[in-house]
Amino acid sequence: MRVLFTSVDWTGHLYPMVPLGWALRAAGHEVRVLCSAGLAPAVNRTGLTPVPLLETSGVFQARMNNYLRARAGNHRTGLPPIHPVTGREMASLDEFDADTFTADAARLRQRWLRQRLGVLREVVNGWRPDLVVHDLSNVDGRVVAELADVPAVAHLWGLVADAEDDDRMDYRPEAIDASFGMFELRGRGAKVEYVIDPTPDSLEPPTRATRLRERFVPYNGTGSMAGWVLEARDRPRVCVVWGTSVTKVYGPRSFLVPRIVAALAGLPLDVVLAIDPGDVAGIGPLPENVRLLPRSPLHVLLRGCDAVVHNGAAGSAMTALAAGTPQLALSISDEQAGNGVRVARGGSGLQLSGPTSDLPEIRAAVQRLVEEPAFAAAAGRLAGENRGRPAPARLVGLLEKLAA
Amino acid sequence: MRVMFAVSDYLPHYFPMVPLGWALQAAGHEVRVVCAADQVSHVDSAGLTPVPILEDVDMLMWARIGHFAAARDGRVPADLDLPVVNPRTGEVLAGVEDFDLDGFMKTIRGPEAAKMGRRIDAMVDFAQRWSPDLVVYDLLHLDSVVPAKVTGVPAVCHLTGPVGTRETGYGLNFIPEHYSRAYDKHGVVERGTGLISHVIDICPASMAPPTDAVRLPVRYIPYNGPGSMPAWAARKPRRPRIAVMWSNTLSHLYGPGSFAVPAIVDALRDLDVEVVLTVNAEAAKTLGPLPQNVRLLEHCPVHLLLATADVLVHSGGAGATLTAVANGVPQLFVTFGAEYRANGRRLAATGAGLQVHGPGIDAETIRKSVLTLLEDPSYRDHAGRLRAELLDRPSPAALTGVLEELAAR
Repeated sequence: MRVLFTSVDWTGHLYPMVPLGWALRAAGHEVRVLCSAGLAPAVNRTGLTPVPLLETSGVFQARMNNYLRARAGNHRTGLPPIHPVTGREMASLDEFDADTFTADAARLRQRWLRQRLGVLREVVNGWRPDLVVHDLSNVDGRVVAELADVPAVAHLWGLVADAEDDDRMDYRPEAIDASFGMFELRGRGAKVEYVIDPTPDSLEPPTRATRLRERFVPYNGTGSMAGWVLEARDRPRVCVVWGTSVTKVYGPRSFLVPRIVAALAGLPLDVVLAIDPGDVAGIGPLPENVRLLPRSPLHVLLRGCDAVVHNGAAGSAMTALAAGTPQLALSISDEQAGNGVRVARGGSGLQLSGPTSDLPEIRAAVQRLVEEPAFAAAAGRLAGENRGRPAPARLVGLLEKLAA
Repeated sequence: MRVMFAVSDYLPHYFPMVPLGWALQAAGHEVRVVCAADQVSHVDSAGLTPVPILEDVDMLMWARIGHFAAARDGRVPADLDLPVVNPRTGEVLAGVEDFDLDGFMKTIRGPEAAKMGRRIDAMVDFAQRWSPDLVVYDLLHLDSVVPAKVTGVPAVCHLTGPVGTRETGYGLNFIPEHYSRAYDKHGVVERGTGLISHVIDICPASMAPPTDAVRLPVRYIPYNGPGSMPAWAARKPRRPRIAVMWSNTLSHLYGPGSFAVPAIVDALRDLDVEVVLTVNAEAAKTLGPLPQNVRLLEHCPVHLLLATADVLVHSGGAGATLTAVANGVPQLFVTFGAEYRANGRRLAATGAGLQVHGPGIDAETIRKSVLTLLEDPSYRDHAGRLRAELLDRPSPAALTGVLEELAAR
């Protein structure tokens, strides 16, 4: 069968679906990933085939959503707001005239809708997918399913799903994509019928759809396996990972690695920074117990680590869950805070608000993760739950039946 | 389980392993690809995790050395019609008198042997730390069996195409004659095909490569590297579409005379066909102005293009061969060298294509062959039958179960 995957512009949303894409290819099915030109290189590097026909809009859309929430009094990060178009910090929300911008945008909307539908129809008529697997927050997959009259299956990218009580955790296109209403979905795309859920049993988020349980198989992008991962260690090792998408949306002050380094300097720990070399310059000279490593996929690194500090991004949280590694989420966005809280409830992690935590708080949290055995025990239990779930390869038969 | 892939420095040889890597990862297994530093970006871009612990090996140089030595000793079949090239530079030579192979070997033998030993030591060291349950290796990297034997796990050889491990024909025997002293150091007494217990065979049954090892058949899943297809290529044109592919390494082995694309373009210029040329930009530049019916297509995996192609014309690489089989497309082989000739002959014997002699090829022969493939429906019928044979093989997902059992024994 031909399975079309669709994703929004964030690798954090693409990566959790990749092992299922591999599973379908390995079973002899054809797979394409409908995405923006911006995401196409990342898709290529997974080994899957991109269809780069969508517009790149993720960063703008995320900044715009944050701006609108701030205007409604719902902005909670503790950081200054970011201009949706320029990406610069704003001293006040008045620096961006959202109303004029939106009025101008309305005139372009009809044209945009026609063009978008044209692209999606071309994919449907040219490639004729039998099934659509779409990131939960992506609308295009649901439109394709409707146009092609084939089943659509939503794939969760982390710890949130489609029936959240807290609207800060609602990432359905109904809630976050201004274009959703324009498509007027009434058929196969009208509601989400199936959800592929890669979360551990204890942390499964609420859904109104039929839940298809899946084991989370981490895919974190490119990078080699570094030799030190296999070396014995004489003191606990803590990995610090910080994705770059957050900085684009929330501005440079959301890059908290320098504070983490300062908080952990001098502790009897080995700290490894798994971050982009381009971001390191801002940190200054590293303390004796802190090392920068060449890029390596997080799931490979965690094998050699006792704890991980990250910004609460779903990919980091899920990878740490699968690896059985205690984790600290120094969260920036609402979703990241929510992820951190949910993991903490499961007992294998702690969550702090990144921008408002001070150094002693960060230091104490990491020390707890490393010293108190309950965190590692819970992490081990959750990793076991994950391993007990059906691997992506085991979902292929189910999807074949759905598409038949 | 943990599966250690170990690959040579010759990308086309290990590309077929990639979908098996996906299958294993999708089943929840961990896969690591031991390789040289110069292969990292290829492995990385295939969705697999490289372990770059090996020093680079110049495979082209070694292939040229092998061919030069055979020419000097009179072992090259005359009907291959190949020029002799300088093993170090790839420059075409007038004859074997123009290069002192013994002198050259004296300078490189010691350092290269030491390097091969270090590569084996690095693999053994990694296997002892990482504890794989299984090793899967590319036939051009037979040394990978050593770490498997040292750690007591099965090693499976992943074949690339119709050439197997029981070959007597010139140029088809990839089993090395010489072995590093590291074999003795690590206590491995077997040599040659004695090292190969199992092979993964990706061919349709009619083209099964000859082997004495236990055969694990699997359906070839095309993986031709990254890229995407522009809209025009996705649409089937009114006229027949002839896809043309050419190996990047051929001219490094046999000199510029082995780049037959100009003859192919010339052969097709007056036919009512659309020619889609998938050579890289560098090669395309050498062609000069192209006829009206030719389009260039870069960065598009050939598997995508063949969905809308009527014929594939190519230099005979196994990847191109099997990708065309997977798509049921008849193929014309224009071959230089023994391996590509063998691929062509074996495919042609099934009725799904034609093979012609590359050296001295003329446009008329190519034109006639392409027209035959287009006009005689038997070629497409046989290509369809071969494709059905391939689909009848277990998928890589199913092979995963077989490998799990093998590793568990």
